[in-house]
Amino acid sequence: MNEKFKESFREEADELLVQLESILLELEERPADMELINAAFRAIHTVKGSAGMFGFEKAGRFTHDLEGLLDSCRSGRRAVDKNIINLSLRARDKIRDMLAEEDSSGPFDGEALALMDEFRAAANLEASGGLEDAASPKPASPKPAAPQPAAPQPVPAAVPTEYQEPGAAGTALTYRIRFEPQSDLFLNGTRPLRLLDELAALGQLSPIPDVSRIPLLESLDPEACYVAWNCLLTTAASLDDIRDVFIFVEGSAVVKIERIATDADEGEPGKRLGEILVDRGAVRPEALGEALRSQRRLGEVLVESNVVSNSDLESALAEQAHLKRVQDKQAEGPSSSIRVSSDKLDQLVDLVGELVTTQARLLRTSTDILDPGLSSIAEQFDRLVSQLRDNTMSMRMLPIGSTFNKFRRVVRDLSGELGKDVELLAVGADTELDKTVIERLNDPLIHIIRNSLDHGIESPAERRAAGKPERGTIRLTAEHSGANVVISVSDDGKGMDLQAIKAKAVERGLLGPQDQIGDAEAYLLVFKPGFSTAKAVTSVSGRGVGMDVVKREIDSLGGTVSVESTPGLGSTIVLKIPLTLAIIEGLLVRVSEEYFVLPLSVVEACVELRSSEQDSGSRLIRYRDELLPYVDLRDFFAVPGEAPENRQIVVVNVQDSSVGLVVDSVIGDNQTVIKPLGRLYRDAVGLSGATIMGDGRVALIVDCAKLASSAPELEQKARAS
Amino acid sequence: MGADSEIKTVSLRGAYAIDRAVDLARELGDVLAKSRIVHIDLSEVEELDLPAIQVLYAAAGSALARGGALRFVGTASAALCSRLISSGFSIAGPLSGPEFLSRLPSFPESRP
Amino acid sequence: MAKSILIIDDSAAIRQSISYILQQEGYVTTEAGDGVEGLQKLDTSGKFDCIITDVNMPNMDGITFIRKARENPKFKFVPILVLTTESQGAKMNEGKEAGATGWIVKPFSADKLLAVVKKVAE
Repeated sequence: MNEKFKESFREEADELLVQLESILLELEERPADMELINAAFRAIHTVKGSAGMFGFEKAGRFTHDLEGLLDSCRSGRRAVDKNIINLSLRARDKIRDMLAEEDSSGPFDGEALALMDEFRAAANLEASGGLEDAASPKPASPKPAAPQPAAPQPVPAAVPTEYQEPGAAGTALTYRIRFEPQSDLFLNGTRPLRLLDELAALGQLSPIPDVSRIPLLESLDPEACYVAWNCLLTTAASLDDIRDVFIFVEGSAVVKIERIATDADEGEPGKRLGEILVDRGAVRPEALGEALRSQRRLGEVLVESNVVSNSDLESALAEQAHLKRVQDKQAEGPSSSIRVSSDKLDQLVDLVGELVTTQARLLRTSTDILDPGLSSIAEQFDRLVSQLRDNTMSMRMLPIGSTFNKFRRVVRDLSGELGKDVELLAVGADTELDKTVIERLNDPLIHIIRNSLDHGIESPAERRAAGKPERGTIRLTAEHSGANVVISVSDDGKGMDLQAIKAKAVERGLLGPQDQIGDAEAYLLVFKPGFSTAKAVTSVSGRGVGMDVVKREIDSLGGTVSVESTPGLGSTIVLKIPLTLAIIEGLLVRVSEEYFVLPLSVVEACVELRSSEQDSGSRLIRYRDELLPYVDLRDFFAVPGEAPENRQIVVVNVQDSSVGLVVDSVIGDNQTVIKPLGRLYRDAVGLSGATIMGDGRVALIVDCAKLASSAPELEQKARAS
Repeated sequence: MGADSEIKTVSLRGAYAIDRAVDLARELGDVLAKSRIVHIDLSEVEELDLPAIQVLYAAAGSALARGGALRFVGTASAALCSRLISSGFSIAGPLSGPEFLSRLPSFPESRP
Repeated sequence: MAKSILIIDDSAAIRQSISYILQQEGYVTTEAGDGVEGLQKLDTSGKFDCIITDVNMPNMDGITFIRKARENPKFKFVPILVLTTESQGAKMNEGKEAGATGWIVKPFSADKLLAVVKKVAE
């Protein structure tokens, strides 16, 4: 950014220097005119302040010294005389030369060094009686500028020196922080809760608000601050970093920061509550001893006998809890993180998956055998295995934030391309999701975001006309919800036009002209292949490819897509994805000798298929007062063998529509480790994977969404024949 | 539980920064003057900054002093809760009204 | 919604560079050349989430500007940052007393500027 404004700074500085010149010349006439002295100071000050900003560090440091000279005149320590004017004019010319240099990083030349010494000498004249400069090392004035590092230039005393707390870097230390704002803290625009957020960002924070000073409503000044905080912060940040948080409230709050010794530092056993209280000066040791002699809980006794206040006790208890947490963490040790190749991790997941399946069989067998001893072992084993499974799965979890960051770039570039002004907000970037899922979500999310940018958010002009801020917002949110992660992309654009969507769908033959569909269903039409409502094909959204890719990918992840939209206010697309791909809860079913697994998340019910219904040829059954299309897995997958008399229908619900799947029998719940199908079967329609059962046989995992979408077709075929 | 007229529900909406603190205090003061029990519906609240929290504490204290109560109803959203975690006023949400209240340290509360 | 920031400095180069840095991060910026113009912007614009002002300016300096801005109920609690150089310790305190929220020491890097603006305006 320096380069961009360098030229503009140069022009401005030139102007200022021209001004300075005429001010100095006037000052020569009227050396006592304070207005003129102030004006000269201001011009130099501005040049100094800006020079450093735009990479003219040398000129900045030089001007700083000149400023010091003029400041001594301004403050009356030094009278303006011929010498000052001469010096200032020479310095002014020097500054102009320095700003004109292409490379401003070089060392000062002899002339500059000489001038700077003269500034100092002149400024000190009054205070030191003109003799002081003999004490300072004689300048190397005539000496040509030897190549020397820029740093050892005379450093102005005002430059703050940074002290590094010894031993503060690296190891985490615990600090007790008391933050007690004055009542007028809000009046200078300070928001104390944000300061605590900053503290929390430094490490592990246990904050206890002290609300004891909040009065009753009748005597409350709503714009005064009454709350104080006692915090414990365990952090590897330095004391300076902590102080920096409070840098702006120094005059308007009491901030006490003290390091406390944690047990890990001293190898002591856990601190007792009494010790903490005494340590904090909340209770006298004698009073503590008395309280300890009674056999009740220390805290209660101390509060009851008014030895400590409730808030003192609360914060002491919090301190105890905080120290315990930190200790537990330290016990784990910072070195407990190691790198493992993801292949090994995948193998582990595979093995655990198989263990889970085997365990499921063990549990079933043990219930059949009815041996109490075996049952109890099996149950215990079951608990261990599920813990092991959760643990293993958590190793594959990554925060989704890394993907979010990529989208920032996409939004930036695209909005520029489209002439729109769009901001991307990401919420829940630390939400964890299976690594594979994260990778596979990338493309669908990009499609959705592009679509929002292209079709959702209006141009700045349109937005202004609609009374909206010119800058549109796309909000990306991820949060856990049960065994799923819900990711939503919402924009504050113009919303989706339901009528236009329906009309387009009819035009494209995706919807019959007479079909009545609900709004939720209608929005989903945009995910159909070949759908596009864009009036012109743009390079961004392309030719209606994209959104159907989203649907397909999310389906294959076992997730669902839904859309909400309000005309004029924007749209939200919600993706609901299972946390992990590797293991699903499934329903094991059998057709002849073949086993299939249906993801339990889509299973709605199991009902009997009476033989009377099977012969009707309509491929519709009555289910909960509705006619339900069904697909016979035997036909669909061409499984050999005769269908038995009585069969089962598993009702599955995908994308808000139900369909029945006909199987011979339902075996039961089954935790299923998904294995990808071999290359030969990759294109097999209606299958999404395979799994190995406890006894080594293979079961195929049914892609319910695919089957559901083919049901109407099959029904029509059946009718036609 | 008293008669219905004793309970008044106040639905808060949006973000409560300091510029709304005076109005909030006035509104709750008016309600407390008329109803013994005040229910604060948090469902639509996006953010509570410290001044608004102070008003709620003060109002609950006043309600309690008059033998009434201030309670929370509705659901405190995850966003609302998350902004209060590092100051110690909440844990990760969403939280139901009573849960939200139970996480406010030393909140003036009538024990049943 | 994007945060809106008012930048008051008599140096156009400084104003423009601050604007540029902030805009890169999605802020919306408004510029004013001195305190008087700054007050005019307060009157004519709806709302600012943060104000950044220089101290030494012709017509009306930053300190006077802050005092006057705080008198306007609309800007009573808005974070105000003072642009200062390290040699101005006294000015820094004067700024705080007038109602400034914090300060930015010149010269500053883009990162430093953003850190401070985020600190007070989020």
